Amino acid sequence: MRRPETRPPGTAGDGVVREPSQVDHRRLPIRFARLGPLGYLGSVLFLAFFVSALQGTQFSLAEIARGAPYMVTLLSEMFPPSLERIGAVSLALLETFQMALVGTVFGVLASLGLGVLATRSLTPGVLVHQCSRMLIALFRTVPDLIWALIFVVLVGLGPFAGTLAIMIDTIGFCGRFFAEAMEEVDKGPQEALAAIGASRLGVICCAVFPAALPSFIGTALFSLEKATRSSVVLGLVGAGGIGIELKVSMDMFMYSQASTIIILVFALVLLVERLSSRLRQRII
Amino acid sequence: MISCVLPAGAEAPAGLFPGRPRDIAARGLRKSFGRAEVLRGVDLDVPRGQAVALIGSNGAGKSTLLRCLMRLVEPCAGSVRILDREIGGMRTRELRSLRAQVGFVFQKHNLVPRLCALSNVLHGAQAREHSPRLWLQMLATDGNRLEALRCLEKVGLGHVAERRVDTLSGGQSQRVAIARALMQRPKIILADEPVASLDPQAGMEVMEIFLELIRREGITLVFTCHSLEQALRYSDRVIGLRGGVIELDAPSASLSEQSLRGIYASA
Ligand SMILES: Nc1ncnc2c1ncn2[C@@H]1O[C@H](COP(=O)(O)OP(=O)(O)OP(=O)(O)O)[C@@H](O)[C@H]1O
Ligand SMILES: [Mg+2]
Repeated sequence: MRRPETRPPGTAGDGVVREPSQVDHRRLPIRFARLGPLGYLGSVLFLAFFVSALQGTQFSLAEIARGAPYMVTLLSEMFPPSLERIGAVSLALLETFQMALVGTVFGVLASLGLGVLATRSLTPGVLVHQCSRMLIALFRTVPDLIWALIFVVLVGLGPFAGTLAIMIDTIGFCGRFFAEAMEEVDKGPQEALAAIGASRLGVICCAVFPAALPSFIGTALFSLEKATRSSVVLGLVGAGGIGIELKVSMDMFMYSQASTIIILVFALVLLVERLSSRLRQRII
Repeated sequence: MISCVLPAGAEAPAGLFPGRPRDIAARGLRKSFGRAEVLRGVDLDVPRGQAVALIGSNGAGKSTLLRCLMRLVEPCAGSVRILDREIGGMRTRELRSLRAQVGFVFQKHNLVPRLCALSNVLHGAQAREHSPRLWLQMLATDGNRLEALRCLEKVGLGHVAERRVDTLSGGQSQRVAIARALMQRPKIILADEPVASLDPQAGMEVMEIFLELIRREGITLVFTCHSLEQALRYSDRVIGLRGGVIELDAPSASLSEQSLRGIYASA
């Protein structure tokens, strides 16, 4: 509420610190900028689309309420987790992580090369620059599950297809961030190396890579986390890993087995995240 | 006008070193950025083993001149001969091998952070040997590692060889940068305000190192600085740039700080 003025106007600049309650509220900036006609139209359209989307997705609280009892049944069937096939499941989990690791390592290596081509200050030519940027964007925008489907066709079912999918996904992620990191690197040392007469490769390896290294490592660890999560799902399309085990146990109503798998996946992802954040802190 | 300005083409300053070959010879050097003419026809001869101080007000074109000499900046017109080789039409490969023989020291040391001092010095051999083994000290041959250590010792920093350069002081970093230039086995060193970001003591140490190198190894030095005292003390010859041309060129012994002030008067 606005209090009546206790001082005559014009004493605001007198250097006296006023209590907040004495501040002239008319001087405050307005809280909300008024919407223009375009903004108004945009908001209405957005709201209309959102409402239609609720329809389109058949979003319904009633359905949730009806499903709730089954949730209890499902949970009770999941516990206690079954240790029956723990050996096979553990092997599948190991395979999942192996896919993530190999895919990430090769993806990161490829990103270094492609990233250099996509860095404006290092690229050998405009055309190369544009093409490599487009390639990276393509790798990034197509989801990993689709890459997995493609590689299953190309190299057959199994973990190799998943590994390739992860590699492509990693290039899409790392290529972009590597290029950005290299663009931001201090130009001074690069000029110094050029003045010495070093080759382009020499300048990149001596002055650019070492300076961008912390950023590279951070990005690479992030993409390992990402790869671990996505390698779990790739099994669903037959690209190797633990996903197929999960799908089979769910399809055959072996919920206690499914819960074992979910817990193991949870543990793996958590472990990888923990380790990578440790490493990041250590290095950066 | 400055009293000691010599007539164009005067032999006296270069003549301090009669009979020596000219390591640097520039003719009619011009450079403009957009419409701003920075250099308007600079002629410069520097005989072997001479120390030249280049002075002039901010924006006079000192850095541009030094960069043009090595084509780090492409001059618009004029010719440059370095070590008796015309650099104008050189292809990349030739230019690299020439740059290998010229050390360039910047105001900012421009070392690669996160690498140790020894690795940074090893980079100086990059143009001589295009080998991946020079990227890091752990990969380099013992011969190169030893030479790099010698270079560090010459600037009094043998004991910090393994330290990361971002943990060194400004003065130490600049000395590592000089060691990197020495690793090039240079015939010429161009130094753009090598001591501008150093405290007076560190600056003096760096200039003493330069002076000793010139006297002992016969290296040719062109350096810029804003301290008239240092310009006079550490050079054989002072060159003043003003309005894009050389307005003053005289042996240091014949000059006083007072006589140099005119170069800073607004053009
Ligand atoms: N890359 C560039 N692009 C545009 N203008 C430039 C560039 N480099 C230098 N200049 C201009 O050229 C002029 C001379 O610059 P230069 O750095 O050579 O002067 P300087 O004598 O070294 O000055 P200082 O004493 O401040 O170092 C300045 O006006 C500067 O703005
Ligand atoms: Mg300058």
